[in-house]
Amino acid sequence: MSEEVKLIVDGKRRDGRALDELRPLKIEAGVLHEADGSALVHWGGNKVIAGVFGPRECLPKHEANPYKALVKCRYTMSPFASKEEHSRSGPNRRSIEISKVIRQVFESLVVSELYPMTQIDIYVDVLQAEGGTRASAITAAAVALADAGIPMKDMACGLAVGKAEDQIILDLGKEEDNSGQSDVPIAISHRDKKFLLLQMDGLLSRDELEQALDMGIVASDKIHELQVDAITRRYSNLESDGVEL
Amino acid sequence: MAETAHDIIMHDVKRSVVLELLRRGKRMDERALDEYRPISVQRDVIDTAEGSALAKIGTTQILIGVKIDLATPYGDRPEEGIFSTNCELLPLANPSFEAGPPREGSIELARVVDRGIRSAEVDVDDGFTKGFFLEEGKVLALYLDIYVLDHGGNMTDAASLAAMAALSSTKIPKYEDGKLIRNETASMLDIKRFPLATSLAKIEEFLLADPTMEEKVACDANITISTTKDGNVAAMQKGKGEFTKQDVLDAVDVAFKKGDELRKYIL
Amino acid sequence: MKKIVVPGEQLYNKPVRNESMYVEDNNTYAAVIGFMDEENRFVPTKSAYRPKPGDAVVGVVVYIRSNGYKVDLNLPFEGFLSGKDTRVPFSMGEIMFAKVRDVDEVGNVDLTDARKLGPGKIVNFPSAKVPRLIGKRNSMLQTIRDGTGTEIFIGNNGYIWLAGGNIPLALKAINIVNKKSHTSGLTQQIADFLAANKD
Repeated sequence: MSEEVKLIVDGKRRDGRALDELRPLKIEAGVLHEADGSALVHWGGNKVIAGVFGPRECLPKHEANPYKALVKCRYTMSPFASKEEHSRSGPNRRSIEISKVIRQVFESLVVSELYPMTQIDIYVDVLQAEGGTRASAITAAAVALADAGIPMKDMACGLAVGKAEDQIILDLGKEEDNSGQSDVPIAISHRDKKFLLLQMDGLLSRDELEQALDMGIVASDKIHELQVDAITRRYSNLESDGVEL
Repeated sequence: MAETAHDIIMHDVKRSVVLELLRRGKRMDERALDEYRPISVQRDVIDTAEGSALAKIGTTQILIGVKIDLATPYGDRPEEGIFSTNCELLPLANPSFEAGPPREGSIELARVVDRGIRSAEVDVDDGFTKGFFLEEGKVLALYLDIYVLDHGGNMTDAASLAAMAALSSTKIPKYEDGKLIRNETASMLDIKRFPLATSLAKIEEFLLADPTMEEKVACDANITISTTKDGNVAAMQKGKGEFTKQDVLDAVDVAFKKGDELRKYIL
Repeated sequence: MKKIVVPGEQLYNKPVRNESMYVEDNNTYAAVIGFMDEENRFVPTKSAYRPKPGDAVVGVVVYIRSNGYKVDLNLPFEGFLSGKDTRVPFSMGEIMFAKVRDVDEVGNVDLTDARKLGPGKIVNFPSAKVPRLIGKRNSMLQTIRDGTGTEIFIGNNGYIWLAGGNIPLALKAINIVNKKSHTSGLTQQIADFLAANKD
């Protein structure tokens, strides 16, 4: 970008949000009929869908663990998810890394000892992207796993904190992600507030990091509330209208 | 889709039940033989795409995204744009779909949908890619991506319906100084004949429209026929089994009638 | 409407061990989505079926081996019916109603007491709600059988076999049981629904 654009003016961000304010977030559970569990998350300009299958037979068989279920995750982005050029479908280096860190979130949560020799598949597809797709993916996947009846020790959600214009901010949009000073994607378990995903780029002091993590913890309760609300709506009316984009 | 060992076993299991009901004039979900499951179409669902639509037929849900980019024309057609169709059977759409390179099922689906559109809207004198020429060596390319979200049977008709809804609401971005200005629209893509696929399954003497997965497994033969608004057949694809000439013509008659009904959702 | 419980919510301040719960520091937390019933018992809404000896299951023969049959039971692995445990011979694709004889530590299921069910429709039903579909002393099952003339067998594994009579109507009734499984007076509701829709 050649021209300087101020990301924060008078404590307000370019989209009018306060520093610690989330973009509009909507969660819907049980939107797919064939998957064992599913969820759709609209978060700012992100539209992310998650589907879960399992526990089912582990394939290839030689990967099967006689003591527990394997958790597998595949995160991909649609070829039309970006405003820019059409992209190739299927996994790439970025999506393979994200798949791995999402998998590790749920390896900590799923009670996998109950289902030896099996696998649990988490598939997440980003239909439309606007910064923060992995946070949306984790938030959706947690609801989809619960919807599938997969035993978990806790719920979790994903979100991002970071820094722009020397101030700590919550839930970075695309612009803030691209030209801010730091981006810290995290996932937090609800009950004991543990960090199950933690990545970071840019520069932060120790104090700034602490302030950012605290801001994330506070926001995670709000996201959890929306997850519970989605599950409650799903189970008080089992009739699903399917995907509403 | 390739038949699995399980399908072959289930063919006999399902066929007897489906057939027994048909002889009493019924389908499992109480539809008439030529009746579709509930249909809905929603356009402009993806902000990042130049065109998009979500179509549902029963529990089948298919999303289409259309992107328009700059490209170099093919050598043998230097003044014509590019039209390309791809299909992803997302592994979240069905327990039998696996991650990995495209299998014959997704390739066939993309090609059948592509053929109907290509015959009626591209390889004709007034085809839309004719208007995609920008300057020497530069044309527009239109990428149509079929994203299967939920496979509850009859993906082809849902994909074709979503594709025509997406194409007929596709905005062509403005071209200026060798670049596309994506948030300014030069014109809407001009769709004329609205080809739509109708899939039919044949079990003994019964011809079923919009077959469920169970009916597809149970059937003796199946066929997909694309028809246009102006009364042409635009593409055909026979699946398994065999048809007499009369069977084909009967199927075409049903396809015209159903094609007109389906078009009401997008015209 | 009862309040929904989600994974991670505390259920009891003492350890209760069960596959749909999780114990940590002597407290018990929900591991799956569910409700608390009137007696403060946790009722999961949906959880993967875990077979136990004595369970009744519906299965489809998918593979014949020299020593017995591999049977699809809606589980990660096929069950096995030893040729020694059955006098009835089965062919590929045939459907059986059988008992679980044994389950080993990795979840392999051995079957016994198999009877042939004949050609029929198989549908999948949430295994957690199977007791509701059977009802007290088979009351719900009998109501649906009587109202539709359909023969029905229900497996604890969530497979249901239906044949004859008005199968489409029976499927609608089963669907209502699934959706309203937490409401009371459901057997009467189903009886009324079937009476109103008889053909």
